[in-house]
Amino acid sequence: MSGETKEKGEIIGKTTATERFPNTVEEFYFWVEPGKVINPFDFVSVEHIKGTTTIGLVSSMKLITDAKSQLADFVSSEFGKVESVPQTPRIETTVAKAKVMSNISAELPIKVLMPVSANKIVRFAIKDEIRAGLGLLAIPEEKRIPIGVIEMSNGTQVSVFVDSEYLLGPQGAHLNISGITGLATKTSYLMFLIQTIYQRKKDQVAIIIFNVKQDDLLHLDEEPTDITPDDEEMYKIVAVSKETFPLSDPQKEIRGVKYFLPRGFRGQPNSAYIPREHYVYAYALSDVHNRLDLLFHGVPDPYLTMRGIIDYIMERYSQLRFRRDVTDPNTGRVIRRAGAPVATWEDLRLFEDYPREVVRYERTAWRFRGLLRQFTTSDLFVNQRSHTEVYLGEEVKKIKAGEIYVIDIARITDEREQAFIIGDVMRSLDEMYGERESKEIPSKIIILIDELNRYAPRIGAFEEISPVTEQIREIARTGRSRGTILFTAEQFKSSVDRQIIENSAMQVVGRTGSSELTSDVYRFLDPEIKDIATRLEKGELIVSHPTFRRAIKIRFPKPYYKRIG
Amino acid sequence: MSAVDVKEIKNQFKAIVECVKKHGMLIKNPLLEPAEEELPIDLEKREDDEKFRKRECFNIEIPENLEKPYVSLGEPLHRGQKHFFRFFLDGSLKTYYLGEYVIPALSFPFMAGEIAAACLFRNDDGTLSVPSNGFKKRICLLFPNKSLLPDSLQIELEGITKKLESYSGLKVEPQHTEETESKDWRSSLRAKGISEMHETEVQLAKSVREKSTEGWLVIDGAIRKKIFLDLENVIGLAKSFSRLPIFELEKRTTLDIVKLLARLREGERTIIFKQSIAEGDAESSVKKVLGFWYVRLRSGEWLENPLQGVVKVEMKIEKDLADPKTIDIVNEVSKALLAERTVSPYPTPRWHAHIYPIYVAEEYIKSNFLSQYYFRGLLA
Repeated sequence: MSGETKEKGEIIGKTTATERFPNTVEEFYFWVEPGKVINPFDFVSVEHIKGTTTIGLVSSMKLITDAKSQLADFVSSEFGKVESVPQTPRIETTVAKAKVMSNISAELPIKVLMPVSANKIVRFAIKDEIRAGLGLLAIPEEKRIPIGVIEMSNGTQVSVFVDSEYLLGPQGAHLNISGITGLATKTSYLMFLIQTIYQRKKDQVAIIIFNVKQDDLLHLDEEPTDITPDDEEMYKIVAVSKETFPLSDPQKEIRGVKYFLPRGFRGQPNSAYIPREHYVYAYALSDVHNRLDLLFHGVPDPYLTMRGIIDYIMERYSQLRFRRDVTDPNTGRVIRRAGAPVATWEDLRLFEDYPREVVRYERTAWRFRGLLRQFTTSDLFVNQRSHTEVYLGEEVKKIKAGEIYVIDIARITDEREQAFIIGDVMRSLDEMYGERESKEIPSKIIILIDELNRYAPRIGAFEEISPVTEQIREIARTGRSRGTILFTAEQFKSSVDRQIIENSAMQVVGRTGSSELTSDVYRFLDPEIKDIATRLEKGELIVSHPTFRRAIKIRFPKPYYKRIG
Repeated sequence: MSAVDVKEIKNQFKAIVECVKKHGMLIKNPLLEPAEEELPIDLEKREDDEKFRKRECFNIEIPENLEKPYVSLGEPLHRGQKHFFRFFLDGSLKTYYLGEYVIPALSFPFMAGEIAAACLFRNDDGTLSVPSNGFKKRICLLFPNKSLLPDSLQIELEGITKKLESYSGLKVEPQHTEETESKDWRSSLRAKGISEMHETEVQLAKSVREKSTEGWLVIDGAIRKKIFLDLENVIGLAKSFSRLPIFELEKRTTLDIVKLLARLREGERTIIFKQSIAEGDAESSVKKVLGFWYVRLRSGEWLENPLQGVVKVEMKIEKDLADPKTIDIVNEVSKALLAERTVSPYPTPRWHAHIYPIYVAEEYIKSNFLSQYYFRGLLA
């Protein structure tokens, strides 16, 4: 019964349609030939009318027997004798359900959207059929971005790619990945994608990466030590070169990775690992006086008194002057003269001369100063940046195609500070589009944010949205057209701002707990696929993309750089 | 088994109907569609009742106890020890009432019958398969005896049949009853269909056994045709049987079937019997060499009455006193039947006396019947 020809895949069964389980435009059923092994996410092909071929994706399987009820099996074991051996085993067959991916035809000008007939031979789809079923063949070579490898039960491996216009804009943009820590390999996947994009579109793309875990992403220019033959094989399939990210060298005009490490104790970098070439970033008030709202996000402010002070400072920063002398309460010494400008964090902490219409009660100003002191105590906030320290916002505005900014925030323990850094980068990018000549701006800027739930958490209906979330949300909303693309990751999609998730064209799910999958943000997955998502292996991902009719399962090789942990 | 060419069947059917219309008036079923006929309830028992018009039976195995003429069988004979039954045969019939046909001398129902028989083979691992020659299907148009039809119609029908002789696929066959008179032609024509079904079973059994003599063949129901007895290692297995027989034991004690079976326990069989032959019995040649006995497959509180869970087994036994060798075979057959209790076709009707491979053969046949919608289309 089995057979294999050059043009067609191995026969695995025959379609079946019954009164209760008819074939439809969306799905069809087939029984599996005994002895054949198939699995969910295998691609199958069935000959259809007018010489067309329907490509299906196995979504679920069930084994059926002719037992009308469990009682029939009980009776068949001689009324419950567990030791009884069937003289004739029951007829049983595995019935698979396949979701229709596409109906393909070489010549037919019209679309055939009719259900597949019963009793038709079902085969494993061959590589070209899989690609055609996913609509990949229509994507021009220069727009192809590999996203991984489809692996089928018969050993077939096919490179899957997407149209860059649907990942990097303008047709669709942004990617979000979620899944259990460790098993879902979220960061690795994002970095794999970034590497493939970088290798193909280096002269158009700039990348900003926030490193949130140890020194995970501080070795992008170093040779990896854990590449397996399996990875090597997949590099060949997806056509990714085994090249680390180049290190930026302005003298040799090499554009590549620039590591930005947060300023720590005594001006030393506060990082788990200090790359040889790096920049230390810090914040002076003069850098971020117009970003104070980002620093104060989440502070309860029911009467907007705090907001009034922040807005006042942001608007009048350059005109802020001490009206009276400020003396040290302990020594009585004058520490700020009347008329002196408010230029540093310390100045701002001492400044009290807010107009009556901004601060009606003195305690409001006290509270503001207290919070400011609390929020800016870390070594990251400096009264004056040294010449070796940079302001990230300024650097971001200068980013060029081919550059990869790795901004380390892993050692910054205060989530408020982390969010401030991310928010500042986002706002600086926003400003860049208004300030720089558009031809100088890289046509695509990809921003990788891991642990998105920390910076853009889902909020309740009556909660106020934080400025950082708003900033990320804004990019999710408008970045598609101007080329600012978010690659975000988190454990649970349900814990992240809904708009950011909904605006992500490509959704990726690694292994995820079943309770999390009950959240309606996972509506794009069929119920059967959700079941599978609970038991995905490490390195396996489910990908939903607007150009694919159904979510598919892929594997991917480790990104090519030294990975830690 | 080649695929059925439904278009070809329709063409053949059309040719016959046109021929019929030329010689008489065909009045379509008032429902305007062919109605599937219901076969008589418990056909198996009816046929057995027919056989036992003469009720007396005598034992051909000497019982140890006249009060309890039973043999304890011990452990079931599983296929792991000896794979006894290999082939399982069943036949089925569907008849359709298409309308009334009126010719000058007679009017009778115009009926079609779809007949199918399957003989499944049980592989070493217990799974069932259909041998290449294990399925037979026929489509018949049922007519009264040829003598009742106009000669011109006869000649034309024969002409159509002859033309189809060389066609190897499924063809429509006109079939005629034996009887020349009937008060109820509908029943008579249906009976002809049943008879053709048994004939198909016979042909199938013969064809399968010619190719393989491995193991034993189980035929669903009683052995009705002499030709079955010419085959080696065949039993007829009836899950429904007549309650008419009266058993005379050693010419001393007489038991009716209820009394005989009520005390038969699970894992036991009755002694072997033969039916007394009435003078002029047309089936005497069959009855003369047909031994039968009953085996209780199941008992217990799940059964509704003591006659449930019992099968009747028929086998060719020429002598009127079973010899030890025959008794050994009967015991082996009975023990192998006990093993057939697993798995069970529960909760189908008579599941308690039904064996699974025969059930599967029935299902196989059902799945190969043409749809009733197809028959509706034949007259359209």
